[in-house]
Amino acid sequence: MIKQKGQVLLFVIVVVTVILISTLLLIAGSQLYYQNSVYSNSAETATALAEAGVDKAIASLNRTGGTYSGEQETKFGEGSYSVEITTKDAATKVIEATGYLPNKIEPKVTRKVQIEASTGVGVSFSYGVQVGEGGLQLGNSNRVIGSIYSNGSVVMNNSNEITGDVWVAGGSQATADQQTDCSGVNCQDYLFGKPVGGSSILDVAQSFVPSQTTVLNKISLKIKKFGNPSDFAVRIMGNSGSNPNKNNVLASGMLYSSLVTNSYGWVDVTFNTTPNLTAGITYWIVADTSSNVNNYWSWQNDLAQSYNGGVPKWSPNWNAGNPTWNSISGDLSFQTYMGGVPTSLAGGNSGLISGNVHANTISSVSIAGDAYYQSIDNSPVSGSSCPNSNCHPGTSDPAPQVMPISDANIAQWKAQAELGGVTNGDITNCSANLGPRKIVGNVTFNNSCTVNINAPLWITGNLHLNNSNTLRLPASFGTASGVIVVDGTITMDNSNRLLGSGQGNSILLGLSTYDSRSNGLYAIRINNSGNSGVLYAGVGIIEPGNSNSFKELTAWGIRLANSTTITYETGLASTLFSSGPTGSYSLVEGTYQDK
Amino acid sequence: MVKSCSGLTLVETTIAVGISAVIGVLLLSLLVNNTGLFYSQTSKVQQGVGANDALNTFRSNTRSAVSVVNSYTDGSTSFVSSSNVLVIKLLSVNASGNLIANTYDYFVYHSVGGIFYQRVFADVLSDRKSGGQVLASNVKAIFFEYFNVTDQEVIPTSAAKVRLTLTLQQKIGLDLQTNVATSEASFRND
Repeated sequence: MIKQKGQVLLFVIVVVTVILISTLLLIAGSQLYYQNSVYSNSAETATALAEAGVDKAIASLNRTGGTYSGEQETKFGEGSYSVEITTKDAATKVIEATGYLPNKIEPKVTRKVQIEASTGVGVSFSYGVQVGEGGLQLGNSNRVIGSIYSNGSVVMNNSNEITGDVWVAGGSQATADQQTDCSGVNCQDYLFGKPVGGSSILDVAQSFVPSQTTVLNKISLKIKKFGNPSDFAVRIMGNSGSNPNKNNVLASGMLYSSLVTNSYGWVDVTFNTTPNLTAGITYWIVADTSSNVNNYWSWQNDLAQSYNGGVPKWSPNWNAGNPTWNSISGDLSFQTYMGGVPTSLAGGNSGLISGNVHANTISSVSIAGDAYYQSIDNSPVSGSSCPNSNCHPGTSDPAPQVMPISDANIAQWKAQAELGGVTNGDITNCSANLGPRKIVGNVTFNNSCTVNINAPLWITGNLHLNNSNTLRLPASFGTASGVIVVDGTITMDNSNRLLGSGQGNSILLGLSTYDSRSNGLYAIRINNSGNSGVLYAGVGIIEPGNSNSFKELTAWGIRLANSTTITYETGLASTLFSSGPTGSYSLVEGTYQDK
Repeated sequence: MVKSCSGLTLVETTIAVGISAVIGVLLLSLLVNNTGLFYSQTSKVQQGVGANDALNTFRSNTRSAVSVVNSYTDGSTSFVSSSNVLVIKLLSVNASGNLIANTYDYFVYHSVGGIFYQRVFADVLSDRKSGGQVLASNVKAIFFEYFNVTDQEVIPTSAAKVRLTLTLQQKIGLDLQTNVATSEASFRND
């Protein structure tokens, strides 16, 4: 018998082993890939669950008036979500939502998102002094540390200094040239900025025919919003075949969402330029939005079609190659204000503007920067008389600026204050806390009274602060701001202070709705020495007195007396006002975090 | 007398050698093919896992972005948003993980030499770290598309949504193996 070793069998065993191992590794790799893909898919699902939690939180906050505090675990689809709510300040809640797959107890995947929701109204005070058509008068030796924007003329006496730029816009006419509104049952919503009835109604236009040939200074639209849509562009266009002419855009501006509330109100829009319009020619106001099913707009529509000068239309895209425009039955409520009113900047002795000046006519002031004008007199620019390289004659008048607070904003604050309760009769006692509340009467604080103002506070009469009173927001407002709305006048004698919560850029705004435009009387008057705060009179005149310090002043007209300093704080460009506990919550843009 | 000897005849030996040769060739072929298959499939798995991870990172950061920005310049190098470069800006975060208002970090997604990079240019106030990260290798092409909220294609700076198509390609033996993956993300902060 011959003994032989199985060489082939050994080889077979080696090969089979190698194949087996590599096959097992391959299966393991495939399993890894499968699990990785499943995890990626699950992670997206968990993120979607977390975002569902955010949606639920917003709805719950609004349903409960802001008392909703979150939820532990809510089953939804193939997973679940939990929500935690923390209060950032009086206006803002932080929503942290976590999505779980398949459940919170034994999760295979979790994803967390964080976003802020606010009842507040964002207001941007962009200038140290912003003045409407009533213009700005400065006495002697005032100092503005910041810039000035005035829609009316600026007149300065002696030794005033402005460290920033000065803009004097071309003046607007006092009454609307073209306008339409509605009444009763003829007033209907016209929704846009979302799909409506299967149509993408994104761009909406209203035509008008001016009665005079001059520049268009501003327009107003009667509009409201649903949710919290973004600002949108408004354009003035020429006419082509009874439609807006996309190749003839005369001016562009923005309608700021912060000026619009969920009730109809007139909202001003100004433009980058003031286009020259010709009487008797058709022009179009074109609103250009993007689609958002939750955050969109409504323009008030007059079914009675009481405006004979134009018609409304809509388009899915005004700037398409060949845009389609569709008719709308009615008239969309609007106002147009023409310009052509001359404005100027007139300085006294030793006046200095450290920045640039933009005005139709400039006289008797030293300008350290550049000057943009139609005419200039007795005003050295960058150290020498014009012409020099810093002089820019022939420049068009600056376009007017929209006031940072709209009538709709004020109406909303009033409504929210009233929901806090109503007090009939004057208040003269110093109380530790006041508001949110409507006070039908006057409020007078004598001396050295410190009051926590739970804004918003609405006073139908006058607010009078004698000496050394302090009105402040409570600490619970955090970085949010608050407002006292006064239908009458506000007067402050000496050393009174309006203070925010002390945190961040929080301010307490003193706002008067008193109308000074026809009688020229003051809406807000400050006496001498030691008063401070932020004051606003959209259709009134502020007289800031002598030797006071303010962070910002905004009014239809301002008469600065002597030796007052206005020190602008850049944080005022993004001030968030609390609307009180009854305002509806909406997401704050720019606060989403994928944690 | 006939002498009897044990052994194989030439025919038997030839048949045995032939059978061994055939089995050997078959086994060797099996081994070679299996090895090729192993490398091929392992490569696919690696590409797939790499693509998944890259797209996850892209989606997460794009979702948190404020917008696409036209360009970002770092020293002498400019990154311009286009069909093969994406520049987005995100609000910076502080040490507590909270957003810093009006302060931005810039994220650039681009491909150089077959490598798909994410570069972060963080603001000095930000707690994010500046630097580069390899998201995927063996990249043949990346392709960005930009859409508005109605899914119409728009220029990068008008985008509300970005779609990324990532094409990975690797040579396995004589074959080129290609893996295409696509993902998109909408800006939540625009």
